[in-house]
This record gives sequence, structure tokens and C-alpha cells, in this order.
Amino acid sequence: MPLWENPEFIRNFRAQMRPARLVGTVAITALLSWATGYAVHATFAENQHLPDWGKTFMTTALGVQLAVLGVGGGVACALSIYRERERNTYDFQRVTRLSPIELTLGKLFGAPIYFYFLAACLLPAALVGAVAGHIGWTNFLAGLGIMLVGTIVVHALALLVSLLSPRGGTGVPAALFVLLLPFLALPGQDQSDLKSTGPWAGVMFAAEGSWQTQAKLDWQGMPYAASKWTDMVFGRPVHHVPVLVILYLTLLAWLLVALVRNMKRDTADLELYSPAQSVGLVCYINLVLLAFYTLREWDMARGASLPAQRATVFTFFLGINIALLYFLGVTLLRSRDQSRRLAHETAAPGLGWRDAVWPASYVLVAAACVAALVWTRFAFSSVLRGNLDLGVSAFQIVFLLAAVLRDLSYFQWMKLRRSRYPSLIAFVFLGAFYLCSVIFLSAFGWLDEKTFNFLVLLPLPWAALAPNPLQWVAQRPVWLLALPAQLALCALFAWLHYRKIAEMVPAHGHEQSHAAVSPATQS
Amino acid sequence: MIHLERLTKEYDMPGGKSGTLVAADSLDLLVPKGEIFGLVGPNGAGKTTTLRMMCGLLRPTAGRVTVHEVDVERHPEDAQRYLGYLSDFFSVYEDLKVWEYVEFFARAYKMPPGQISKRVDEVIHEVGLEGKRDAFIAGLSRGMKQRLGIARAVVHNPPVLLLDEPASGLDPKARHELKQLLMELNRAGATIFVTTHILSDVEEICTSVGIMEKGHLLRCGPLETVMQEARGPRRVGIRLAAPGFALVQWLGAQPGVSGVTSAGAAEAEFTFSGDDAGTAELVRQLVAAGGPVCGVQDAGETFEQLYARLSNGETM
Repeated sequence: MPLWENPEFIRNFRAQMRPARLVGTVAITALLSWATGYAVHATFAENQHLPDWGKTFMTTALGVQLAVLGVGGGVACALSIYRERERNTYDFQRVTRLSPIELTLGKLFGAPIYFYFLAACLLPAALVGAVAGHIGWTNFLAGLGIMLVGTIVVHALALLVSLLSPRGGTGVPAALFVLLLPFLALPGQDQSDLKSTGPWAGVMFAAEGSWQTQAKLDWQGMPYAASKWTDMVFGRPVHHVPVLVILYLTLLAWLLVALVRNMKRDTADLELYSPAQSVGLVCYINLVLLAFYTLREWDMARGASLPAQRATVFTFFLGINIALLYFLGVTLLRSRDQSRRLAHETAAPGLGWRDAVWPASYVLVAAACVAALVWTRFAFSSVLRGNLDLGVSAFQIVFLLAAVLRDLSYFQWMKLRRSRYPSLIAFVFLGAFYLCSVIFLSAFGWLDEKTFNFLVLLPLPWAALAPNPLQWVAQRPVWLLALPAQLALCALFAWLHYRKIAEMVPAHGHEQSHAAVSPATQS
Repeated sequence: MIHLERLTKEYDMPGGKSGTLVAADSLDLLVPKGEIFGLVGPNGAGKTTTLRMMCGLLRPTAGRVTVHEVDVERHPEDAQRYLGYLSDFFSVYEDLKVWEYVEFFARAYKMPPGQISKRVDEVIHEVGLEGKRDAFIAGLSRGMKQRLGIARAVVHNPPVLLLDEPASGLDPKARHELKQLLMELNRAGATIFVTTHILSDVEEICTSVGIMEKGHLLRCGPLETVMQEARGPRRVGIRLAAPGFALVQWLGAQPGVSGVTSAGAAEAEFTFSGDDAGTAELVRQLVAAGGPVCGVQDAGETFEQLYARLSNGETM
């Protein structure tokens, strides 16, 4: 179904684009554009830098367009489904024949439609600035393209937040802000081989971008990006514009998957991704990290960049992935409603150990996929320095995975307890447990890695993220004892979880209602 | 047409209490084509939950709903082709005009584009809003908004209508109009499933009925059958033209008659175990015995009384 025939898009268009409102908008933006243009021109004329006024005017106009589209459109999307739920109109959309993808696209492009119009009204100002500033038309179009695709990603993000916050309230803007943060990054970051990821890069590219891809070799013969508009993808120079657009489009695809999956779902049944999709997302994030991870690191002592150490790379990816797997596991936790359905479907004898240890199987599959990806990228790289003790690394991975599964089993058990906010309470309890552990162990002076012992590793397994090799050798028995202890805790929480599901199994099956014996009327 | 198979919905007890709240308990129900099925029950009986599961808004804990042999949960978009849904709240897009609103749903139900414009005007006319076609919805009265809701539910000509308390909050005139409209739609072939509190409406328009309480269907079937089954021995009243005949004594001596009470010098009520033919025979014998009968009435229960008795006196 084309967008202009999408009923939800048409509804938004009709509601927001009444002629009187449009005429007023055009008049006000024209006036403001003229006044701003005049002011910029006058300022530059005064300072005798007249040729630069056009570029400044264009940058200002594009910046305002970005703000209008990003902030205005983002807020419109963030409120769209929340408002529908508040007005009780959302249910009527859910019972139409519109497919989830049609409803999603209708809202994604329909909710911010007025802000697209507002941005379009500012386009003549940006064009005047571009012409006056002698800006190349390819730069101008590429800049606009980045801004547009970037803001669509922001809109999709906002729509997802709106969809996944059934109760609305302050959680919506707070979550939106946190999620938007990475997009607000300004150009010039040199932390990785990827440059700015914010849509603001579009404005900057229109003003001062170059289409040349520049890479140089350092004193050790390693290539590095020598321009603000060049990224290193798997060690090869690629222009930033296509990289950014592809990144935006893939991110948009992931957001659309989550939106489409949940758009017509019952609010008690929302689920960010399916287990398989979650594993795919973790792999995708790893692929992006692997593509742009810089293989050089700055050596303070030598005052020069050197190839990265294997241990540093391993620790980085281990840390990132433990966090990702933790997040993946949390999104897969089953609610009481889902568990109750499972209990009805399988009944007590049908419940197996896989149900008890949920979502461990998918976390382990994701871990295996990610390990294979990282291994393939770095295992045979001749660029990296130093050696990695494979035995210790394997143990670290297993130990930390056990710790993740321990916490997830705990969360899953707690989530099935009767409470208004079971997940929140589980997080608070676990946070309090970690905090108290740190306080007590610090008081005994046991948090020094030289004196790590079983009592430290059991409550705080995260110490395994970066073990001291010497300490590992010295305290190997302690580590080897801590691992089965983590697994035993996993088993304990899995058992408690199993009991909770088993409680939900109907004891003797429901009695069928009267109509089962004598239906309303036989057909 | 509409088939509920072991449909179950469980919730946690509100307020953190232990136990499970069973809003729909393994419901099995078959509503054939052309019925107007009324589902009645007290607040919290599970009527709305059942209806919301039927139209795919709520996912059942167990069981399934099929409409026209299409599983509502597995193939929601296909099932919606056959369903029109009206909830108990008036929720409309106030920033749209009447025709825009109806057209939005005509498009959303994927009607053929060439038919949309004609059908929109037709439906607006059917619900009596032609004078308000180009008005903004924000300016409509409550009754008009309800009629607009009905227009939304029927715009795609669904063979099945699911209506949740459609008459709640309407004035008597609007209620009457709504009943007429529902009967017209039924005559045109629509199967209607309606939940309601207004028991007189059930007797007036429903062809079959279900009485629901605490997730169970207490009684279910054609209205007459339900009344008959639930009725038990009938209560009959007889009035004589003039006093002088020993009516109470005569009745007390007849077979099948019990619980005779005198309602005045020439009136009596009694419980009779016979059927209609037995009642006629009893009256013939009374006349033959010299009783000047001038009135016989079946003093049985109304649906409202039957409902009150079945639901253990819970309030509606």
C-alpha cells in the first residue's frame, strides 16, 4: 500500500494539515526566514566577510530544520500512541484490517507530518543560503539526506518508546531522552574508526563536507582515516556519508521490526523482539562494533599510536557482550501472563527444564554466535600485539555467562511473583545486594584483587572481567570453586521459577461452562 | 459463525491478593448466523473480557475464537473482515470531520476504493448523521458520537457485530433508535453479539441469550428455551367474574395443583405442574364445575426475575 493511500497517514494529514493552519505556518516561516537572512547578511556586511553569509545562513536554516524535525517530530511520535491509548481510540485501530506494518508506517510518517511541512517551509531559506554560499548541490542534497534519514530513525525510536510505555507518564520523555543521547553527538569524535553518528553531521557536511576519502599509513604501516569524512570499515577507508546512511537504515530496520512486532499486540503481551530476533540484534551490534573498532591505541609512554593489545580487545568485547547478553536476557523474561499461558498449554508434566531455565538457551546461543564473530575477526589478525591465555579467556567467558544466567534466573523468578512492579522490585533488591556486598567486602579489605577470595567472587562475579594473570595462577582453586557455586545459584533460582510456573497450572482443569453441553443453538 | 472453544482468561487477583481471577472459564459457545445473542451478567462477570477476546484485542490464556472459520488470534487481519466492534466508551477523533472519520475506517477495513465514497454517504445516512456530514466531531452530542461509533463498526458491512454495552449512557429516544437500527442490521443478515445491562432490551431484541457470572455461563440458548428451562412449575392466576364459588377449595382438590393462595374473594394463584394443554383442560373443568372464569394469567417470571434468581441476587 503506497504511503499516500495509507489510511493512518491520511488521517494524520487531514487532522494536522488544515488550510488555515498551513497558511499561517507559511506566513510566519517566510517572515522569520527573511528576518534571519537579513540579520545574517547585515552582520557579515558589517564585518566585511560578505561571501560567508550564505554558508552561515544555510547552516542556520538547516539547523532549525533539524531541530524542528528531530525534536518536534520526535515528540509528536512519542505522544502519538500514548495519546491514542488515552483517548481510547487505539483499540479501534487494532481491530481494523490494517496490517502492523501499514499501521506503523502510517504513524511513523503521519504523526510528524506537520513538522515535515514546517521543515519544508524553511527549505527556501536553506537553498538561498546554499546558492549565496556557493555550496555544491551534491553536498547540500547529501546533508539533507542524512538529516532526513537520521530524523526518521529518531521518530521510529520515539514511536517505539510510545508503543512500549502503555501507561505513558514521565517514563516516556525520560526514556526518549536516554535513547536519543547517542544521536546528539557532534562531529569530531575520534574514539573509533567511525565518525559522528548524529544527524547534525548532515548540516556539517552540507557546509564543509568533502567527497574525498582520505586514509594514510602510520609509522608502523597501519592505515588510519585522515579526514573528518572518512571512516575505517574493517580497516578499509570508506566515505562517511554512505556509512552513516547504511547505519541509519539498518538501525531503522531493527526499530521497525520491534514496532511491527508490537503494534497490534495486547499491552499485557508486549515483547520487544522474538528470541531469534534478539540474537540477531546482538550479532548486528557486534558486527558494527567489529567493523569500526580501531586496532590502534595511543601509547602514553611512547607518545605514539601502537597496534592494540589482544587482551584489551578481548576485554572490550567481553565487557560489551556481557552487557548486551544481560540486556537481551532481560528483554526475553516472561511475564505472569505469558507464563500462565505456557502453564495452560503444557500443563505440569509437560513443563521441562528448558522452561525452568528460560531464557538461558537463547542467551547461550547468542553468546556462541558472538564468540564466533569476534573470534573470526581477531583470532588470525597479525596486527594485534601481545598474547592471550586461551584457558583463562575461556574460563572468563564461562564464568561471566554463568553470572549473567544467575541474575537472569533470579529476575525471571522474581518477575513471576505477585506484585504491582515485580521487575522494578527485583532490580532494587539486586542493586541493594550488590551495593551491600561492595560495602562489606571493602570494609574487610577484600576487594583488592590480590586478596580475591571465594567470598568476593560469589557475590561479585564481575571481577572476572579483568583478572590479573598472576592472581589467576595463584588463586585458580578459588576461581574453579566459584564457578560451580554460580551454577548452583542458577539452579536454585531456576527451581524457584519452575515452582512458580507449576503453581499456575490449572489444578484439575477448568469446568466447562454450561454452554458446552447445550450451545446457544445448533447450527 | 462465532465459535468459542474452551475460551479462558485468567488474571491475578487485584490488590496483590492470592488466587486467580477467572474472567472467562473455559467457555464453549456457538452462535449461528442471523442470531442476536445477548450476553448479560453483573459487573465483573467477564462479559467485556470475553468480547475483547472475541475481537482480538485481548489474548486468551487458553482456548480460541473463530469467526467464519477464521481463527481470530492466528489470522487477525482476515478475521477483522467479518467483525465490526463497538465498545462501551465513545472514543472518536475529535479533530476530524464526520465523513473523514467514517472514510478512515472504510479505508482501514480495506474496502474497494471505488466503493468507499458511496458507502460512507450511505452509512452516514443510515445512522442519521447526514446533516452533520461536514461537521467536526468535537461538536457532536454524546448520542451522535455513539451513532458515529456504530457507523464505524458497520462501514465495511461486517456479517458479525460485537457490541459492548451499546446503549449505556444513551437517553430513551436514542436507545429506541439504536434498537431499531440493530434489528434492521439483523434483518439485513448481520449476526449480532451484544453485552448489556438492560434486561428489557434483551427480551425485546435478542433471539438467544447467555447469562454469565464469575466467568461461567450459567444459562445459554434461545431466549424461550432458557426461560422455559429455568422456569420450573408454572404459576397461574385465575380470576372469577363474581365471588360465591369456592375457588381455593376446588383448586386444592385438582391433581398437579399446589401452593394455592387466595388473592381476594374471586381470585387465586397456584403452582401447576402441567403444560399449556393441561392449563387449558383445568380451566375447562373449572367452567364446567360452575366457576365463572373471566381471566386466566400466566404469572411466570420475566427475564429480569429469572436473571435475578439465577445470579443469586447480585446487583446489575
